[in-house]
Amino acid sequence: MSTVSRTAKSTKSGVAGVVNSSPGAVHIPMKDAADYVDMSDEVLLAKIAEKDRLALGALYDRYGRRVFALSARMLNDPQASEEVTQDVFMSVWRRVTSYKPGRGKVTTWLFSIAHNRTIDELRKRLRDRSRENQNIDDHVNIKEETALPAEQVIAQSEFDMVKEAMQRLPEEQRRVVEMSYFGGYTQVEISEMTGQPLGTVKTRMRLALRKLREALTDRIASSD
Amino acid sequence: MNPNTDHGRLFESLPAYVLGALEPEERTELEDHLEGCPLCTSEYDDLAEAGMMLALNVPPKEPPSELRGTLLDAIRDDEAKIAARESSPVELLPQPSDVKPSRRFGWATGFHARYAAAAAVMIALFAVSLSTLLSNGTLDERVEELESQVSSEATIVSSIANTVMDVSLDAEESETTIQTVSRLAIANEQLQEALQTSMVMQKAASQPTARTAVLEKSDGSTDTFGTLVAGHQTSTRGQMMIQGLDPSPPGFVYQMWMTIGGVPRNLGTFHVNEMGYVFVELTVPLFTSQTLEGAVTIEPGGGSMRPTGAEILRLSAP
Repeated sequence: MSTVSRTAKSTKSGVAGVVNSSPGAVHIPMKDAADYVDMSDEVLLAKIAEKDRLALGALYDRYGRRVFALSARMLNDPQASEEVTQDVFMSVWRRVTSYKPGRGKVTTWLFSIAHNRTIDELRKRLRDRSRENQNIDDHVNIKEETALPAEQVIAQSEFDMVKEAMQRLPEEQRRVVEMSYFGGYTQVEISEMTGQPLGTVKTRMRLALRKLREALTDRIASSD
Repeated sequence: MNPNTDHGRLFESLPAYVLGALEPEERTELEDHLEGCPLCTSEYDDLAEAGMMLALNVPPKEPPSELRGTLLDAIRDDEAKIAARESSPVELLPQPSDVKPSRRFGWATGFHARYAAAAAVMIALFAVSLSTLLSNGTLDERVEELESQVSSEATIVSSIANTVMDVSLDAEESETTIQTVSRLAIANEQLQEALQTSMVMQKAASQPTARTAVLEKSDGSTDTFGTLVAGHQTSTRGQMMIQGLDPSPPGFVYQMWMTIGGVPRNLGTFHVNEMGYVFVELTVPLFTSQTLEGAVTIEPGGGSMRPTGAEILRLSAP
């Protein structure tokens, strides 16, 4: 039985590393989940675009806890968060081509999908209740939870960085970020609830995001 | 930024969009605007990075262990439904037995030649794209040349469809006519897509640091060829289009490789459409040499970590 080596070789006539195979060559399929562990997010998405379910499983293994945690944090309902998490990864499967590599990280795209889906679910729930009787802090207080041991070092580092950046924001800016991002309130609703003009709310949102972005940039620069 | 204009108002809404603080209809309006506004897109990309940080403000939490299996089962079901819907695909090029010759006009028989002309249009368009991509002249001149070429070729396809509609007079032929026009519509859409992607590649190739390379068969035949445009030193964005490839066999994909320092780097896998055409955007590793080398190989579904299959096309700088 003829086989094809998976070791890269240089060939005189072909491109370096490309091994020409005979028509009857036996190909070794890459179907071992362990092969996906070291792949970059971008490569995983490329494979998902090719309808590779193992690649989606690998992406889920990498970010499923994050997506579930964000949804659980906002909805405070484990069962609904489970459904949202499944929907998010189904969206990744179906809409993977909407990711544009030149426009940002995979995680930015993924968490944007997760946040939008959770916001939709949150608002659907909030519509059924009178917001007049709700305590805003039910949704906007940051609760510290314990990360999994295996991820604790990296997750804690990221968490500490973001937490510090959030704490550095002026109170009024932090408040509009928490009410919108985690609470699901629109800018108009925040304006009404806080008694601040809509323009002021918009300005606080922009300033807050700019400061968070600067904190991220500083962190990248200091880690280089 | 003037908030009194639509653009100004939408630009001012970007932070709220990132934070999820827009009403659904506002969100839709902004997303439509983002499709065609580079300034807002750039601002959004910047702010979105900060939005991602907020998601990191929540420590990871373990979902129920069965969720992973449920998700993969749901995807399998989803794929099965799609496969069932596509189990009777429309064959792009009709076989002789598919189309009954017309007793009066013989247009259906003539359709083969006309449809072959539409396919030839694709090939001609691609040849023009390739030559203009590699030619001298300003970007505007090259784009104008492309537009002129595609405009006339698209008119040909459109007139074929009209002719087919006009000569179909009885009920027996009407169903075949609908199928024929549908196929022409597909060809026309693919033609338009080819135009759009050619524009993208023209613009990418005009960047000062861009490098353009050709993909050719090693035996020198010219029925299959393509181009790759990649940034040089400064960008990881790249675009590739190929014309004339046979569809990959079931269970296999085409895979693009770029050789850097003698080592093949995976640029991703792809399939071609029914007309053997593909355009893909790639993430290309930063490279410092002036030359571009690589290959397209055929690989098992999902792709390979290293090239294992036959070399289909070779990439080289002209």
